[in-house]
Amino acid sequence: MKPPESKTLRRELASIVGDDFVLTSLPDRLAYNADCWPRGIILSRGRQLHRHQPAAIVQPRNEHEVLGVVQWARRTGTPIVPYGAGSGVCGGTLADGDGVVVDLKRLKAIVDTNAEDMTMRVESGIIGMNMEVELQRRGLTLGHFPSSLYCSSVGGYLAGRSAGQYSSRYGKIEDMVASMRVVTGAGEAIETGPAAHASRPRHLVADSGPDLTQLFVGSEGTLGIITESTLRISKLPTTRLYRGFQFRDIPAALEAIREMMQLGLRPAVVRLYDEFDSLLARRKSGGGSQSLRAKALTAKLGEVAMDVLPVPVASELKGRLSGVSKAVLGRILGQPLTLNALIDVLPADCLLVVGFEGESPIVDNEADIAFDLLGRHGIDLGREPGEHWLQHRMDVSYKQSPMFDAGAFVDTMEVSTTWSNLTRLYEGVRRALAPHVLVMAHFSHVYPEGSSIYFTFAGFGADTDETLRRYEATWRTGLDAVRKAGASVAHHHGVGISKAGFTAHDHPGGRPLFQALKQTFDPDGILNPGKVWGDAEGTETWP
Amino acid sequence: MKRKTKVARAFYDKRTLPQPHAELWPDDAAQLREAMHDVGGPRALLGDGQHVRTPILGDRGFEVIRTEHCRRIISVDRESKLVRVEAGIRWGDLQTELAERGLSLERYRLYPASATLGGLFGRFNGIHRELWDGDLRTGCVAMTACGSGADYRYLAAPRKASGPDLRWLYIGTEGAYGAILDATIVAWSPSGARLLTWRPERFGQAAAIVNDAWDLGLRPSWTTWTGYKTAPDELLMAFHGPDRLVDVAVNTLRTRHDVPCEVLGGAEVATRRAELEAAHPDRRSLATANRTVHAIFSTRDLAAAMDSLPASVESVHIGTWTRHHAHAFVRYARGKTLSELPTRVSSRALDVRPIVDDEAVHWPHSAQTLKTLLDPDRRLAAGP
Repeated sequence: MKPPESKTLRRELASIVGDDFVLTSLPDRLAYNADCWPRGIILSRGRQLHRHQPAAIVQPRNEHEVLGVVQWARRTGTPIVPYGAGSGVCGGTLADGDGVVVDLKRLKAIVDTNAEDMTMRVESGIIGMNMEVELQRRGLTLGHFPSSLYCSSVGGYLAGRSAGQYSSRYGKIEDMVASMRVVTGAGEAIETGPAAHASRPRHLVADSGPDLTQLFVGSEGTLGIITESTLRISKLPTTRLYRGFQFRDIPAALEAIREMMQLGLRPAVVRLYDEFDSLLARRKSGGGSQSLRAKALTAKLGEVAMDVLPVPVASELKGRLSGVSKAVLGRILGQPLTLNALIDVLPADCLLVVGFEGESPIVDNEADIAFDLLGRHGIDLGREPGEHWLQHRMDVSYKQSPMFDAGAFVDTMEVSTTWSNLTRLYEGVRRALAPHVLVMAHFSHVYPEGSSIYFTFAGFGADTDETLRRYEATWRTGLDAVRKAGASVAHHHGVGISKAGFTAHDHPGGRPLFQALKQTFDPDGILNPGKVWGDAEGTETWP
Repeated sequence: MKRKTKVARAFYDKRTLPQPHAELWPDDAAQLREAMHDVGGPRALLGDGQHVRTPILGDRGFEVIRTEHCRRIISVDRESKLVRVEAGIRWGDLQTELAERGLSLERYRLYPASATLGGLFGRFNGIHRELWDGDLRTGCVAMTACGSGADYRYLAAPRKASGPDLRWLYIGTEGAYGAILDATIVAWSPSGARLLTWRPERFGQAAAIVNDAWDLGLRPSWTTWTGYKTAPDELLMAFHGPDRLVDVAVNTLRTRHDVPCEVLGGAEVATRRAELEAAHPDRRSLATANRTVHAIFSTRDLAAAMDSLPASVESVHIGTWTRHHAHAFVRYARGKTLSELPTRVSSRALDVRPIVDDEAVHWPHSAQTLKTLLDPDRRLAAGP
């Protein structure tokens, strides 16, 4: 079925959400042309602004209006794309010319907070920071602190299985959610599980069948639109103990972290930087976000090179690196193999930032045990590195990196595996990406059974087309290396478009199961088409 | 694979389950897969048969696939502390076999020792899991399942964000869509253990201790409470970890709560655990099963629900108790065979069902559609 013409579309949508909340102007559609997927930034820099402009954006104010939009989409055969705050980095909220974006920012209420059972009921469009400020005012916390906290929504966290910086203590969002209210693509509003907050009678909740909470978490809007959720919260901790440790290399540090986690200790924060990332972490304010790292990379790459290169070479380069120009970036990032080889011989150590939060005297003892253990494997650097990280952990730059202006790109890839496979994964991905991009990594979400690795890579192309080619080749090569290592291709950024060709790797034999879910909850295929599961494993090209 | 047409009637009678036409006894996961793909049926999966609900099986005749011989430990990854094991192994046997290998499952909540791993995963769960609650579902890192089509394998890697977690089409769905062949779960090295036995005079004191422990950031491996009329109130909390840490936990709690408390340590904790798991109330074969109701309450409603229990209730056993919810097994006095709690109690519950639950099951429309798509020939007897 062909979606309605623009005037009809606008009129019909306005009858559901009101005229003020149907956006069809070119500037509005341009604003939704890209999320935070770096490929979108490359395309925008290259003036390719047409690929993902939606036909319209609607901003419903409640579940009833969301239902109206879904039913309209079913009737007209129009693809619809749920949108939280647009901070996703995998293209999960991108539409195409026919699609309508359903922006949930008006669903921003905290419906209820209950300290008796430590749960809260919240609408999906609320920004994480606004919610956390309100919770902390009451001495409570969700414990979910992604570096995008100021510009990301609760619905987005749930849709993409997000993780915050304190995941080792509080878990990922799928560990915090008790139930959700979802409008499915079949045009029904359902509660995915029983919740004391839900005003609906208990008997309306199914007493058989799958646990829909886990099936809708991480579905990225392909099965339904999350409108509300019940989340488990905690008391705000009163004691924070942070420390830095230095290790001679990655395996030594990982051994110490593994031992700590398998004792059952629950640090709030564990961030281990590899040799190059450690250099950057020490040089910049904080060790956190992708944007920050990109900025630091730009500003400090020359400085780092000066530190590690032989003096004559450094002298020659010094003048050229005085400003970050396209030529300089091209020179540096255009020879990634050399640069990565250089990193391999860096006379650097690895930095670990570890933090414990909770109540005295329990947390003091837990931290003491951990710090003693880590000190036996590495060198205790004292409180400063940890407290420095704590102070600057949210220093995120919301400006697009100047590197993109200069024809370069920076992106991150978060993958996970078991402890016994972790070094193999780290080395395999680094080796595979080395000819394409400069690559560094940190390990930041750890569990008794394994860890995630957060790779950051930077590359360069002479023009938009070459940059895009290299960017796509980098992703394909990187994910293929993850696949070969037997690790998961996504730990907390979700799949979107960028990894859709590799989802089957994490779920061998899962395609017919996903298709069954799709036919059940989105029988017309209107919800976020083309996301999460690609058409064929590892072969398709991005739209 | 052994096929028995003469089945042990006592097994089914004891569990108030219908008699099958025949039993298939696969020796391992490969034979279980064969039995699932073999044209025939309808067939139902059965481990120890303690949790399957009669209405789930429907009234068609069926054969049963008994999974208890599928009990191999497939692999142990000592570095990652991960154990991959066939789903027919009993929970008690798994703990024993891992203990022989120097590993422990002491940090999981209490489950019936005779239940199979597949049964514990496959049974319907009224509420979603939560972090640090000792739930096996949280400790499951990978899983292999098979339906009428190809196997599904959920990759062994922590906390993936690669789309919906498709394991949940098999976890909690009572064998309606397929069989769990094996699971990979987190194990631990044995550690320091302390068991606190509190004897509160009032239920409110017990609730205050539990809530306080969680608010302090303590995570008991398991917590139970037994009390009401015939039994004196007893709150048990087990902690595992480095000795210094569990001692701090114990001392902190004891200092903050003026309630009589005894502390056990070491092997005594394991012994007590084994006793409690052997007598776990969540089993259809228990003599008291037909007068026991399993109810899950939010902690906001728990005290009020306890206050509202009718006079015919003999005892209450809370088998799992976290900061957010509690699983209560409410046992009526002998001669009382109530199948439901009074409305004033059940309306407060997140989920409630008798242990021997023979009432009709409501299958939501989505579950029925999934059944049609995933088991189009209805070869699995369970489900809508």
